Amino acid sequence: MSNDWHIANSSNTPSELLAIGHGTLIRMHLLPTRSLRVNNIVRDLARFYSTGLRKGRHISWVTCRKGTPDDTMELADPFATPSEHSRTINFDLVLEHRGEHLPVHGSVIFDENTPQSESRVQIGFGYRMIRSTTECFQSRDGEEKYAGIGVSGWLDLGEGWQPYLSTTKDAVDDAPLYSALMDHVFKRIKPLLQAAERKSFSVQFDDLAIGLEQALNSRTGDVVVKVGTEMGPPPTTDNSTGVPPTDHPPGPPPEIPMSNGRPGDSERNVSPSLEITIYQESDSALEGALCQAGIRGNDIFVAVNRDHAFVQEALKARPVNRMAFNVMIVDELARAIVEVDDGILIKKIFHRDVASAIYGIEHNHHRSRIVARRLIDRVREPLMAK
Amino acid sequence: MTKLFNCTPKPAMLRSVQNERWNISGALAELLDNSFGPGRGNATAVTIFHDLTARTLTVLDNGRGMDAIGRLFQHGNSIGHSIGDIGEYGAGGTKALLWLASRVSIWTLREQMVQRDHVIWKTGLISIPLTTRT
Repeated sequence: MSNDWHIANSSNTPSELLAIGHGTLIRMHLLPTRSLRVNNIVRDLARFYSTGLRKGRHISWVTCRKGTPDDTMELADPFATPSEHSRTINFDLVLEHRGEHLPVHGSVIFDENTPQSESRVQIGFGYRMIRSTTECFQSRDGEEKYAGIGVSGWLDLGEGWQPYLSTTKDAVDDAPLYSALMDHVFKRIKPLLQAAERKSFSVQFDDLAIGLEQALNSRTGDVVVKVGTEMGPPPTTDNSTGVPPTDHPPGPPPEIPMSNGRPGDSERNVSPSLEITIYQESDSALEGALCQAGIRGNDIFVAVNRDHAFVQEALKARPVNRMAFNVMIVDELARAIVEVDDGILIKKIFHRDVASAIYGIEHNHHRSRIVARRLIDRVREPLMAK
Repeated sequence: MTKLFNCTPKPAMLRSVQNERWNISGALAELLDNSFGPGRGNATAVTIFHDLTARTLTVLDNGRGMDAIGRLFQHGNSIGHSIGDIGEYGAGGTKALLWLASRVSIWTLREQMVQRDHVIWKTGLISIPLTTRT
């Protein structure tokens, strides 16, 4: 290759480079096998160089046609500016490893507006992000894990870290060192992870409450109408109809309501009359109960024991174990409904035939079982439909 | 006397680089590392021009320029470690040029002096080795 230096002029140097006065210009005629998805490339480069962009480096992407610039994009740090309500933990630490002092600084933020896809901690070195991770969202032994939705941030590795970086520039190639760093970060950001989890659980509970609220306020949920199809025989306990047997609680099963079967009955809009709020409560506040429901007028409050392993496992399951919650909450709710019923509440919730059947049950204990079963049937049906 | 076998890689080996599974972002990032690296270009700004008509990508930086453009085309030619620099092995940039392009033109400018050259990989890597064998 040429190793000659010439005095730069407009005939031997591209004008863009000449205008800057120093630097390098590389022009590549792409192989026919290479295709560009510009948006993806720009997004990737902004992510790779987020560390540098934060430190004042600039990257521009200029799209040209026949050599003429058509559009210019300035790459920006993809890390969204945290909102006013965010909580931040700053890092300025030095890890001692094999007699070396390895500095790390950065910030980890909890912001409710950060989506799950961006809930990661970026690890950078110099001007480049080398890794985006959620490994610091769990304890070293993996016993304690958080989803960390809304938690994001960056850690910049300082001088001394180079020998510990992988040649692929995407990892720390020293497992014990990396593990020590992640463990330290985990311990520091644990309050943020816990706050994120509480928020995430609240969202899940809100979602559950919506489903339960619909079940409570949908009296037509007792009537199954298939729009546009011929009505089949009404369900009975007789297996000859092809309807699978249901598990009735001990004692006489309540009468199953008959319907006029008008198409569209099940789709009538019934304005919500009962509202449910599900919230998290500590084990001590609930005095060891798993769940506790209370009714005041049209407002139903359900407290769920956030400290109990069952609740935590059900919430952490992906997808969230909704049915487990529904069973637990509906059971407690049924007891509360029967307890406070003044001859109106059950009628408000159920079709009159079902309500009559429920009122026909002598013992409150069994009455609440039937209420629970009726409610779970309603909650279950939309889930099955999904 | 022990007989020795010459294990020096053949140029045709570079063809394997062109067929590696990679992506444009990763390849461009290797060139940007060379631009931004404090021990390398130490640039503060890089502009990437994408000409849709000519199917070219041009990477322009405002760094200090190279001491020899040949370095970029020699696998493993590296300045080694320098403070704040992620690069070490002098392989990424060369690989990126091989992987991305059939033709490469390069100019480096420092103290009003320019060094420039053009490389056509397609001939060097694919056509010549295949035809000269027969």
